[in-house]
Amino acid sequence: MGILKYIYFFFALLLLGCVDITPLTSDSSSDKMFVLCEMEAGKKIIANIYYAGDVTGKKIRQVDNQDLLSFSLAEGDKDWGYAFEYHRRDSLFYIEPDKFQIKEGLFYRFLGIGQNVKGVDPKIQIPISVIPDTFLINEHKVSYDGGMANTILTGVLVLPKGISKSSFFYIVPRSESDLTWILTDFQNFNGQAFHKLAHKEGFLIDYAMLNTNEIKMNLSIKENEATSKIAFDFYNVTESFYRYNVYASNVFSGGSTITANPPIAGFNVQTDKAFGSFSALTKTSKTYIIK
Amino acid sequence: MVRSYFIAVFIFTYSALCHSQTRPDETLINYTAYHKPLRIVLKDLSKISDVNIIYSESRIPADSLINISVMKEKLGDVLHLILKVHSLTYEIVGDQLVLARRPKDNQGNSKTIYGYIRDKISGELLVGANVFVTNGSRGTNSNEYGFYSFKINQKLERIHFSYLGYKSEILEMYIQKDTFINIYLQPDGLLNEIIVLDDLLEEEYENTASQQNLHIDKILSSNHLAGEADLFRYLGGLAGVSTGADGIGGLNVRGGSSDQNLVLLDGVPVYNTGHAMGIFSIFNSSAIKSASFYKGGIPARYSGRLSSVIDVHTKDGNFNKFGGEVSLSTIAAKATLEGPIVKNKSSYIVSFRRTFIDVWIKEITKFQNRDRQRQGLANYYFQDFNAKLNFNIGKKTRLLLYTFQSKDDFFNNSSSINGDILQEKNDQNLNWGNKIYSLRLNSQLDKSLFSRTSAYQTSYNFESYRKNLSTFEDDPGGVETFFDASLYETAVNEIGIKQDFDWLPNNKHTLKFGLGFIKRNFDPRVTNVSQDDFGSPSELIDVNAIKGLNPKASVSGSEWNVYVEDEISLGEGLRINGGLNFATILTQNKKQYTSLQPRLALLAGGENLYFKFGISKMQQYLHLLTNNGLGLPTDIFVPTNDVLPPQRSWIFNTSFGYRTNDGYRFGMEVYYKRLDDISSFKEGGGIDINQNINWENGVPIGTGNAYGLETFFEKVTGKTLFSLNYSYSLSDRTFPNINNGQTFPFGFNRDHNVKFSVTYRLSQFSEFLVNWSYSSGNYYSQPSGISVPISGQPVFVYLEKNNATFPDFHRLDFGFSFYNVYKWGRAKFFLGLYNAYNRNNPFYSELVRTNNNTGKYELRNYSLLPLLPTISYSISF
Repeated sequence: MGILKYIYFFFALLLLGCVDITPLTSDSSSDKMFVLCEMEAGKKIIANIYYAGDVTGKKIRQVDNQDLLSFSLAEGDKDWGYAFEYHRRDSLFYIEPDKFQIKEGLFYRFLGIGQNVKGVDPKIQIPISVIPDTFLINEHKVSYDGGMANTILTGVLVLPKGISKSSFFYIVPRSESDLTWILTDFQNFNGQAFHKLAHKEGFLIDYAMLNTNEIKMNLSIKENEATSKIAFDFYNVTESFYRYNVYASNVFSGGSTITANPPIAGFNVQTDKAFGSFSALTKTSKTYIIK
Repeated sequence: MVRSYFIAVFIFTYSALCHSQTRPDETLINYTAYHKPLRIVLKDLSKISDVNIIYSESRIPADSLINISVMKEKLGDVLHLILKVHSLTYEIVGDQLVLARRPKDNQGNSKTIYGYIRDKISGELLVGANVFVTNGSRGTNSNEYGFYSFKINQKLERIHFSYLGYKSEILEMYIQKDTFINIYLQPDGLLNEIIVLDDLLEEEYENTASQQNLHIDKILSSNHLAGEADLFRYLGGLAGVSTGADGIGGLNVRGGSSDQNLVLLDGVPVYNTGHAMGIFSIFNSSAIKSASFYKGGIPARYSGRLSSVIDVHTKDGNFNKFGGEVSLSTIAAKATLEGPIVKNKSSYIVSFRRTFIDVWIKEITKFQNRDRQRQGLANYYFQDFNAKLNFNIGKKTRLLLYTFQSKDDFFNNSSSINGDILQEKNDQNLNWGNKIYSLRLNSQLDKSLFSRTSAYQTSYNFESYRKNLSTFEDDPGGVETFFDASLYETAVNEIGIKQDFDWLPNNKHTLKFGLGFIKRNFDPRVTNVSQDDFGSPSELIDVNAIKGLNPKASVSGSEWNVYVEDEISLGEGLRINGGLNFATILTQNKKQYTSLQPRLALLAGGENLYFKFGISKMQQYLHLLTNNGLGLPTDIFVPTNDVLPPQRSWIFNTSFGYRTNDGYRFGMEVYYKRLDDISSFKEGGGIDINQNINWENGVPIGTGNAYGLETFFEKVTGKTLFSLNYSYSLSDRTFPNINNGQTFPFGFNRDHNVKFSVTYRLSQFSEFLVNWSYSSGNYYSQPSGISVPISGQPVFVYLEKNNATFPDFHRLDFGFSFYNVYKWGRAKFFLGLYNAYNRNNPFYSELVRTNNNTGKYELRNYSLLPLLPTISYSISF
């Protein structure tokens, strides 16, 4: 029996594979930052900034000492900007709306996070607001289960014509009690135009992939009573917002450690000091009565 | 009429008898002449060969100067070389050679010879055997069923019949009416696995396509893994073909993915061709007769896939006597039995192969688990089965019944227990397999018209189930349990009916046309669950409970297909193969797609130098969604439907080649391939697929390109055969929602490839072979090493897809084959080393925590096959 064990071990050695290690190192000696800044016109501009972790075991931690770091928002090609203030209470960097507001159609740059590796500072243009034309309801059903009303809608959200084809939208359908409708399905479209988000409510649209201005969707919601209204929070967003949130959604739904198909970071900030996303969104809201 | 027939037969018989003796033009000579007049050269040749060469000086350009240098060439071939430029030829009269003017091709008075070309010993039909006139200006091949039809002039003609591994047959004939002639070729020597071609000039008839015809002997004398010679492993050694490490992931031809190869087994499509992740193919070499491989200039009769065609033909069974083969290798045992049911009228062949390593895999894994204080074991085996019945119905009709079945089964169940509490339980089950049933009726309707009617069913099923259950104590007396599981299923069922015709109206045209109807059904299902889907987790939740959550997304569709193809001979050395394939499919929701696929292949060349050019438009009505890029059966087949369009490609290729008279060949080919509407899994976690959701909306659709240059240099005659090829290729993909819409390298492309093989005949009963292959590493996505918080969880950042390559792949294999011949049959013993210098060639990598609890991470590259002795012993009788 002892000899048999060695024979098995010999064959195991022969047939079973080997593991090699590829060394991974951090690409800089100083701490790399991660910057997440999503700006909305008329609101406080918030930047969430962390020190990144790495493969050496360094853990992620929030930036907590503003004295050593300064960040600002510059208009257009100006080489100075409005400074972010650090708030210790929630470890965030703010620019209050009474101090500075972003404007639709203008360009802005995020300063203080190093030189972009592609030689250009990340620069975004605040999207122009877009208001949907109408919402046509093709089907409306209500069923009751355990005291809750389940409302199902099939409808078409019609966008105005003439929107730039290189637009991206973020849509959150809400009920009158501010719950979010669940998007159960899109209809009859190239699925690449839509992205249902796994990490937050709502869904994204790449308008260039859509060959129509009509967005057909199936929605459902459960509330105490039948819902009579649907409101769409309709955001016109930058491509950087779209790419980052598609990435975050892919990560949330189960990013793989097998390197064949990992989510690829949708970052427009890639500098010698930082990674991250610098984006903007412009919101409109419209409510439709469900008849 | 009877007298004419008798004269024709007499001449034929006389010629056959002459061929069985040594002919005067077969004398081997060594001769060199520089700037010598033709009349002097003819005298010299006559003297050194001791053969009278008769001619009239007034009828030949006696003073034209000749330059020639030959070693051990046949007198007839030397005369042919010298005389053809002067429009002269010779005829054998008794034991003398008489020079004559070469007659013009008289198409108006041509007659047809037709029949079947068979192995003289077994009666097997020979596919793709060459039939051509002496100067190679006209010729044809036997079709997939060994039938040939060839028009010759109504004068004395020398017709060559040849096939790799067989002695050529040369017949001189003068026929006055269409004549049915069956040809029987003698296998070359007793040990027909050792390919020794001493007479190359008669072997070659170049095809218009970018094509390789593979006889089983070539495959059997190629490199063995674990003692198993393998068709796909052989194809992986050809220029333009790449695989994952050690064959994992299937074949990628010229930048295409593994699902884009049309693999036919006796005309029936096969969906999954791999055992053991692709390390072995499902094709048992004992059951295979030959295969054709097309990677460019694809004829119109083939359609349904984008990149290549691998057309495999199985043996028919010995019509003359009972025989078989039994073989044992390092991992598998196989047996083949064949023989006549009624001699010369019907035959059977049955082949079975099964691994036996499961016997000790179980014990090894039990032993390993015990060492880690765990319970459970793992197991894996594969098997395949081929069976065929042949019935000759009269002289012109044959009925064939065929079945093929393959199966792979893997499980791994392990658990750890602490006291009475189950700490962790992991279950994995993977099983997959193909089933094929086919019925075929071959009929020779006319001397130049051959019909093939076939009906088939092909199916592929696979199921992969994984369950993890872990528990831990969080409060004194409290137990927390975590559970997650996934189920991947794919089932494809295809039924088809085809009618094909081969027609040779004259020597200029070889027409193939036909139509077919296919009905396909797909039943994919992907379900990922956690305890939230079941309420309280329980180790009693099993695969059936998960299957009950969602129904399969059953999708069906039908396809009609019509094609016409014509190979046109435009003159000496110039041929065009042009054709059209028209297909229309109807999806389940009645959406219709049609495609018109033009094909064109051109060959221009003489005896030594040739040029080729090809254009092919291809279309594919199914997609393979591959999640981890490993070619595992976890890849899901889904059909074209309302949302997923057909995949499309254009292939352009051009090449030149040169063959010397002493068996050397070299050449170069360049290609470009454009891919449209190809699919992939989305980034990150896979999608769920079931009937309750429009899962197609989550499938990314994109485009791809592939470019390449292939060169080869080989020696195909003599005791030493070698082949050296180098290729450089680039292939990329672009999807709007993958890699942020940026183009990225195709993962399975290897930029540089070098493949070298040598086969040396040590003696009549032994040979030595060595293979060395080198290629650039596969592309993979390497993380940046930085982790950032995404929605509250730390995530390692990947900035670009396929931004790194694995270390270069290279491997040396060598082996010895020894043969013994007995009265009852023969035996073969193979001994070799696979991966002789134990190179670690990784096939995938994974980012994991290190084992030392420091919080550090490392990228682990997994390689599979280290240095491996390969042994096999087989007897055939």
